[in-house]
Amino acid sequence: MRLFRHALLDALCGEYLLGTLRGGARRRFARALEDEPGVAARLKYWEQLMAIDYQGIGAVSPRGQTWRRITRTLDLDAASARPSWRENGWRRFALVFTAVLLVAIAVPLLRSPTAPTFNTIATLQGPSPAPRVAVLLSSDRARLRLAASAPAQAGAGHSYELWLIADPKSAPRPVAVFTSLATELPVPAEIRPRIVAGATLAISLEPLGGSPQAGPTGPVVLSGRI
Amino acid sequence: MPKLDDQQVRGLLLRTAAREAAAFEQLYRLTAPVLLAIAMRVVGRRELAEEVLHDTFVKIWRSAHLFDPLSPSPMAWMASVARHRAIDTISSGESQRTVTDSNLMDLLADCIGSEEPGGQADAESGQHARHVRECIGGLAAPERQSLVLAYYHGLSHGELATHLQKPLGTVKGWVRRGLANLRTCVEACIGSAA
Repeated sequence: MRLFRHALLDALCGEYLLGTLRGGARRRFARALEDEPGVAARLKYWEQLMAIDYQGIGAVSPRGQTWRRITRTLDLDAASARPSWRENGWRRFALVFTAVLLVAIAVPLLRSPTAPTFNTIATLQGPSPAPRVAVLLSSDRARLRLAASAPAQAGAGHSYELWLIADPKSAPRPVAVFTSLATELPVPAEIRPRIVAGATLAISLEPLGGSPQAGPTGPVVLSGRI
Repeated sequence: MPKLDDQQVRGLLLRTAAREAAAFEQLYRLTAPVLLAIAMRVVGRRELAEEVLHDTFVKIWRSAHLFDPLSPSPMAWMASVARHRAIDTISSGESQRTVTDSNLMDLLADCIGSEEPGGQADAESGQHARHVRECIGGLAAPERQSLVLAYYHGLSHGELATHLQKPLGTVKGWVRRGLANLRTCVEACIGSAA
């Protein structure tokens, strides 16, 4: 069963956040966080709702060896030994010059299948004065980019949620929750094959963190067909 | 300890996502004491808490690109990484924790205590934190005790039942009702403040 439609989703979010969800149930919930954007959005809502002021928790100075272990585990000494933009003088000039050369000469040659390109797949529109939003899909179908004709934020206490409606008889499927109409979003694996011509994309205005239900609960502010 | 500057922490996290080791070290110097305090509350032992801190910063380095730059509190994101790692550690049975009544009173005081003067630079987040504190303070005593012990000390349902000397089912009910009541109360506060 999809956890997003579970009657106890809010209780599970609360207990996961609290830490009383343990063992297999905790692992299943953690998996759902990766697989189901609606579950991740609902947990985010809980995290924002229960935001604790950490100033009151106190502070304990860590032992020096803990940082040394972290640097060893991550091989940070090697990372910081690499040239950085913070270096000055001729070395910095040489780095900048090399970078310019790379951009001018090498980048066109290096434009490989690992650097996905974005193509416009739909334009979402709503009642005036809502801005128009171009939706671009990456060539590997893993990311969506929203480009709004004017800046727009969801406002305090609200989020936008993007939905995919495969056809008029299908229920909307949640794609992502966000707060600005100019953004880039990961596309859940289960959604990728459904982004096809004829499907509809719609953005609704929801409570902070996304719809608490399986479908949109707030007004649809923008929509458009792929 | 001086209040952590959200903008500074956010900037360091974003530079960490860009693989700037110097920014990551600065982020550690700034936030590790708070994250270690959070870990110690949950796992109860210094050595284990330092282990949790190590794992937390390894994860932060590797997942800093997943941090949402629009998130209102970067510290809450980092604290959440630390708490989940600490809970995983105690779930594996590596930690034996004891909660004395004096610990409990400290925890309750931290949780519902009065606000420090000038402690909140950001008025909106300060108001929200006050709502949460007031709502926790307004819960029925068993619900409040259960939530505070679980959240700040990482106690499981079973450990709560042992500590509070009540049947497991009763404690589970307190936790679930406490969460539901807390959510309703905070949502009502946000609604009335909007």
